Amino acid sequence: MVLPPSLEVEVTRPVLVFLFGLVALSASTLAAERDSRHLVVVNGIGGEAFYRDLFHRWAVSFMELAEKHLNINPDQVFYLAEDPTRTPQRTTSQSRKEEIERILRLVAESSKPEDLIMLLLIGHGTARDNRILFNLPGPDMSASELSEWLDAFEGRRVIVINASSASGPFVPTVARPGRVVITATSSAAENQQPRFGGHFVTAFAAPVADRDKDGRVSLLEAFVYATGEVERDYERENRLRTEHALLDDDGDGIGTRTPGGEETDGRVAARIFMTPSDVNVSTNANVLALTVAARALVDRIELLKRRKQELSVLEYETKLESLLLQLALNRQAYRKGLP
Amino acid sequence: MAVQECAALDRSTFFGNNAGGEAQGNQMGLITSLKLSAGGYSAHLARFRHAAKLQAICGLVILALVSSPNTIAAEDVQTLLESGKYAEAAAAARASLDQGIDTDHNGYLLGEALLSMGQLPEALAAFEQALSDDSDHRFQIEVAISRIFLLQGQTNDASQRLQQVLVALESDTESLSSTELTALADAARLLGYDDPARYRLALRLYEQAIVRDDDNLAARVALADLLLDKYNNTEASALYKEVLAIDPRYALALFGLARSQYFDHSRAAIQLVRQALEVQPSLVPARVLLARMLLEMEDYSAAEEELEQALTVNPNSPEALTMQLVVRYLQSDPEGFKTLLTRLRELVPGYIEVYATLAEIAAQNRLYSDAVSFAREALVSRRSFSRAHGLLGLNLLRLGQIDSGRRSLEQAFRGDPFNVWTKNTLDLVDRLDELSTLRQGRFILVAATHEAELLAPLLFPLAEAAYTHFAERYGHEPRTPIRIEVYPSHEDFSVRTVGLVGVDILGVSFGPTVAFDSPSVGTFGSINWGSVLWHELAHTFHLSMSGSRVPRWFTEGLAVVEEHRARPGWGGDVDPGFLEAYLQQRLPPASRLNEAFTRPSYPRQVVHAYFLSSLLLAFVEERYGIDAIRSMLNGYREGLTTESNVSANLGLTMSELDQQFDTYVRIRFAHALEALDISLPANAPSTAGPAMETTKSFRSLWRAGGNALRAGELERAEKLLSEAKRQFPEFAGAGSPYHLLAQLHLKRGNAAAASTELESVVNINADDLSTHRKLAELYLAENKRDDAAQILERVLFIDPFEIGIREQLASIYEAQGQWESAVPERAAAAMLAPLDPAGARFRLANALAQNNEFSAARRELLRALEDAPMYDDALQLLLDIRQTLNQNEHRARAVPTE
Repeated sequence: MVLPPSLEVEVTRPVLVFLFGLVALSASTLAAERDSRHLVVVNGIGGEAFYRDLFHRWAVSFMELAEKHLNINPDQVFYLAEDPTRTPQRTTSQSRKEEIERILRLVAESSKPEDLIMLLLIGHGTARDNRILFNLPGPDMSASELSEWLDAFEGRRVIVINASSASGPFVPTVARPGRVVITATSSAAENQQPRFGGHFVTAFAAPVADRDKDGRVSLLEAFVYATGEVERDYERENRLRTEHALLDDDGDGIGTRTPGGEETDGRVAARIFMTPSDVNVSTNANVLALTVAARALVDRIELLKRRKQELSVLEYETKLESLLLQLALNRQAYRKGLP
Repeated sequence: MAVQECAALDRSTFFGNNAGGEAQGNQMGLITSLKLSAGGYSAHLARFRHAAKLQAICGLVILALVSSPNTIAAEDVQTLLESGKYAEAAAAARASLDQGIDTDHNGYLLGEALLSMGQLPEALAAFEQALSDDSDHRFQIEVAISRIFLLQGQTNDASQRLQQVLVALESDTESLSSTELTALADAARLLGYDDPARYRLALRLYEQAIVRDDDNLAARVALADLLLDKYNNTEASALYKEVLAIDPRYALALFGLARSQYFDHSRAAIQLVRQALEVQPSLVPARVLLARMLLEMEDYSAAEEELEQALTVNPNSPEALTMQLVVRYLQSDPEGFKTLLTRLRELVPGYIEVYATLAEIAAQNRLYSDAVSFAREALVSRRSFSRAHGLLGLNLLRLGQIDSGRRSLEQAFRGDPFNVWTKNTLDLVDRLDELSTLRQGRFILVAATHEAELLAPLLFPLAEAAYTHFAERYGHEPRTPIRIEVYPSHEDFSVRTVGLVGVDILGVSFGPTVAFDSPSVGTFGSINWGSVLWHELAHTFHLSMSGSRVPRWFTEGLAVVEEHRARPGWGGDVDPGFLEAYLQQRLPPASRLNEAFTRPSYPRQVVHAYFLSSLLLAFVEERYGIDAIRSMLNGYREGLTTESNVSANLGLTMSELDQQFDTYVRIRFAHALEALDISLPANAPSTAGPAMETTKSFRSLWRAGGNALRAGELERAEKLLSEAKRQFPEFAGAGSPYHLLAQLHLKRGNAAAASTELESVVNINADDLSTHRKLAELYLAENKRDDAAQILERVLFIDPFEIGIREQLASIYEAQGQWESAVPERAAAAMLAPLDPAGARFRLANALAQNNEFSAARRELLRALEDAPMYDDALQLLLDIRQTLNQNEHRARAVPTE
């Protein structure tokens, strides 16, 4: 597995990442982070009125969320709608194939290396003549066409979320090192309209999606949240599940249904945060010191967890508690120190 | 006898002036046959073989009796034999033998005829006399002799002969006729008892026999029999049907199809077996099967009549005598049983099937311990009897003896790897190892590991409550521990129950073991599993009290009564379909209730039979008290039939019971029966409007009310639905007037009135998950937390794995400061794969801490923080708990020791 240099550092040296994150917590850095993110939302053809409305609602919700919570410059949000007259103030242009290509080339030109580009595809997908397509007004877009256009983003971090039916085969075609590809389904045979998109859109504003309680929802956490909600939907309705989302972020083109943990997929997505850190921007030296100390304690906990099997339960719990109590006191002091 | 039968036929068919085409053909055929010589007749008969067989056979009977002996050829003797005219066939064969005609064939046929009449020594002599190296029927004779040896217990001699027969396969088999191949297949099949590989050989040989002669129907039926014996009912049934398409009156195929339908528990079995007997009244195995089905319906006298008829044909029939033995056994007649068994063993000491049949029937009647004993007896006679090993294993499993059951099944599988029951059950036993076993009090819970911890807090207390309640009610305490098996797959439950997948029931009680689907399976939609457990444990008591001799209708009805008595809404309810079936007399009377369970005549008849049985038992308890029911259960233990039990304990004849019970049902549901317009088909299209309202029947009011509601005519809808509800207040099934009225009130914004309607639903129908949830939601909106909690607690028995319910319930308890109650719900939520695992553990830790369980709370916090170390609320709680724990330790140290 080969990762682009910028991502590899994050995966293998978490301590440095945290420190890097801390240093980045200045107003100007936050602004820079906002400017380094680009969002392209594409609504495919809806067909029935129900789906036209649903897809539009998901798209608008996500854009509103992006503006409020995801620290993205509104000027860098592009919306390609099936019907541009519905929300003309938000819409960049109609979601025709040539327009998608044009906008992606525009973003590629205006973005810088290390920028993060998120492409969200909402709509229906189909498999036809051995081609996997995302259905658009006019000619449909194939997975290979999209992949080719994304080649213009060399050196940037690209996230593609295809929330359409039959989207699974986008993974092997679109996946590359440096890209995170998420699809709502695992194969072309899963051609019922998936629910994944709706839950993925809301994940970034759902507190429960923040599994590690660090105040931010990572891309991986959003994926886990959305797939969990999908599973519940089907269970609640006692229906056979017809969608299994995939995530690929190691670039091997083999998506994983349950990324994270021991899987190589999920390691990059776990460190991509669309929301800014809840750690307040502060120039207070004490606060900064406490934050550094907290990060160090978290790293020690991580190291202890890796040794869990070597220790007795009592020993492990005693050491873990000791570190956690130090962290608890640190966080108390931190909260007191905030303006 | 045969002549009389023929004489009873419409003579005009034979000799009259019937001008109809087919009849004319038959008439001509018979007349011609009477004039033909024997050989010529045979050829002529073939033309009529598949059309008017009976008439032709009658002709043969007449020929056999009135013609000179040498006018009948061996083929015609065979036709007599195949049509069950054994005496006539024997006479004709003897006559031909006396004349020295076709001696080997006629000798063989004589042996077969004598064998069919149970004259074993005479048959053996005839076969031996007919046997010669150059006989065309050598293989058939050898196999027939081996069969007699087997019946006589000369297993080794039989085996040697059969193996000798199969030596023929070492030479070129191309020259063998279809009949010879069939005989070789029969030999292979008989050897299959000890060497299962022989079954494959038999299969191949039957197939070759059919290829060699497409007209060999006997080979097709024999192949189908083999497939059916190996539980391949689908292919067996298709083969029987194939034969019947060629010859619709082929008795053995009709009988085979009846067996196949019997295997499928289809009511068609009884009609088919009667058809087979109509064609061939002397078909002893068919009569025995009919007797067996009648026994299942508790019609002992009719069953015995059938057996008498069978024994008239063959007084030594081991099958018929075995079934008589079954009657003695089921009627608790130990003396009769012993006498008959002794006779049977003297007659056919090698007939090992007797114990296997007894074991099977004992198990069908839930007499599992007896089934085990019978299977063991069968093994004493023959160690290699795979079927007996299988029966032993299955019934040991039912008694909860898993390890010994597995060993027997493994042995059965080695001996007969084709038996799907054994294979399925062994696979299931392997999967049982993957389940968790928890023990508490009188019960053992076996369930999927991830479900056991969640089910235990619900099922153990309920099971204990059921045991205590039933012990007092029945004055009896079954042996404990009782195993509660909860299967995470319906297929596994199905295999556990009947050995095959696809069984359509919710739960089962084997007495010391009860089993049901896990609530996570969802095969049957929304079900209250608490009531299922209660029902099955009621069976455990009934089985124990009655020595497992309680009839199914009695224990099912009583178990439903117990559900009704236990909790609001538990147990089946009356619905329009039931009452319509009752009014249309599609349900059997009280005296024949078992029929509806064993051979239902329409798809929902079993469901209706449960409810009808419960009404009957409720009637008995209301009129005669629980003591009468106890006494009847004891009566069954003592071997009383239902008739004698009813007479002894209720002082009624069966017809009096039928009459009084019918009156009871009609009075109890008078209002609803009156309101049902049974001339209206259940699926009649709904039309709104005054025309429908004028009928004032329940269905029309209900439909019109529903339509008015959909149309937004709320006042009219309320009037119609209220009237429908008044007419049939017991009905709270899906979309009932209560449900619709609740919707109506919600449309008006009257949540309190809607709650009242939904309360009625849940108090009648405890399975209705969505109504329970809606009601809890309405209660919470009205801030009625206690009521909401009560409803959600009931929901746990419908869906214990829904995290939302657990969290909702925990929140209610917490808001009321009931931390002790909140803890298990928070623990369940943490186990149910929450989307926010750290959050769930933190909330559990908080509940534990509030309940002063600080050490447990600390442990949960460590688990939460392990994955979410920056979780501020959890860190703060950990600090607080550590402080408390330190203080407690300090205090403990400060207490002076004595």
